[in-house]
Amino acid sequence: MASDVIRPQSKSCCAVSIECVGQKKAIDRHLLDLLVCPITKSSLEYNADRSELISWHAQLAFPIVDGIPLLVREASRVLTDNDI
Amino acid sequence: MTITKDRTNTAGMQNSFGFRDIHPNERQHLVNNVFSSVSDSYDFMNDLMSGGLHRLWKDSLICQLNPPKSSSQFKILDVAGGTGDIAIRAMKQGGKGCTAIIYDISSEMLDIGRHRVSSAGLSDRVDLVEGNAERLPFQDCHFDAYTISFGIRNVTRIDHTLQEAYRVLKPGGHFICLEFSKVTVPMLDYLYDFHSFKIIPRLGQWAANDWTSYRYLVESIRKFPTQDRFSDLISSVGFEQISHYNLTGGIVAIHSAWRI
Repeated sequence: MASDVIRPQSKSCCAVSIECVGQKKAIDRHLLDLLVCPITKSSLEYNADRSELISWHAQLAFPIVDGIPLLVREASRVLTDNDI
Repeated sequence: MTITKDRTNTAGMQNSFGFRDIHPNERQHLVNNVFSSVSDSYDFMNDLMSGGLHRLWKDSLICQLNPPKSSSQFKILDVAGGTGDIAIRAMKQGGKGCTAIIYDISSEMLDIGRHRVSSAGLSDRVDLVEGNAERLPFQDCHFDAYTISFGIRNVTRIDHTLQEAYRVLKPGGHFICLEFSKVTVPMLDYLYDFHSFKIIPRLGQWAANDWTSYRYLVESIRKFPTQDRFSDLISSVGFEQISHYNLTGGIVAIHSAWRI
């Protein structure tokens, strides 16, 4: 099951840089560690390439736009087989 | 369309959009539209409608919050705080250990907040997250304080919102809510009704070209539970030491409660 897969993340730095259109905004690692899925309250995995926070339990990916995580169901994307 | 003008006496505002009776599923979308629509003129209109009093009311909330001046950690979650009014005030009042998360469902309001936080040089102490107050995306028992200023009457389920506030607060955490309430001073209620229903929508039309949104704002104020009823709701989710005090004759009230 996708939710059982352990996905190691780099914890070596305290801030993760995210390139946004026209600006660079750092997402604080402490903020990422504090956030959980709004629906299942399970942990979220940060995908830097897609600027997304992934809830494996809810099978949803939440976008980060201009450095602001959008943790609402309406803004999320349903995970597909390609995400696994 | 059914119209109900009585104050809400249940755990939610889910069946009303102002005085209009609606299906709960419609509500969040309708409320979001209001705040997208008014975001550009929100502060200007607040000044115009309240004669600048909203600034004093928010200062009173910060007095209640009393963020520590020391460098010890103090984490604030400011729900429905999009424009950053409360978080920025709290950071200025508190010491370097104070940090805040501004949480709001409206990206337009958060956009204003982001610029203000940045202009105030507070980006290292204030983060912004977009989401629904009824489904907080934060771990349990994390925050020292939860503030919500002129936000809770816009949520669909007040009880869910309060349960989530309780969950994310640490034991010993402080819940503070500033909201329009029931005027308790004789005669002031008549004047206030006149101001609310005759003047504010016209000001909204004149200054922001938006009668409907401002009509919703005044109707939603009138639908919100009374001070005592709201205290009961706060108590029902487990908060203790609940108190409230009225400002400007009950036009607004600050409710304070603790997670013990």
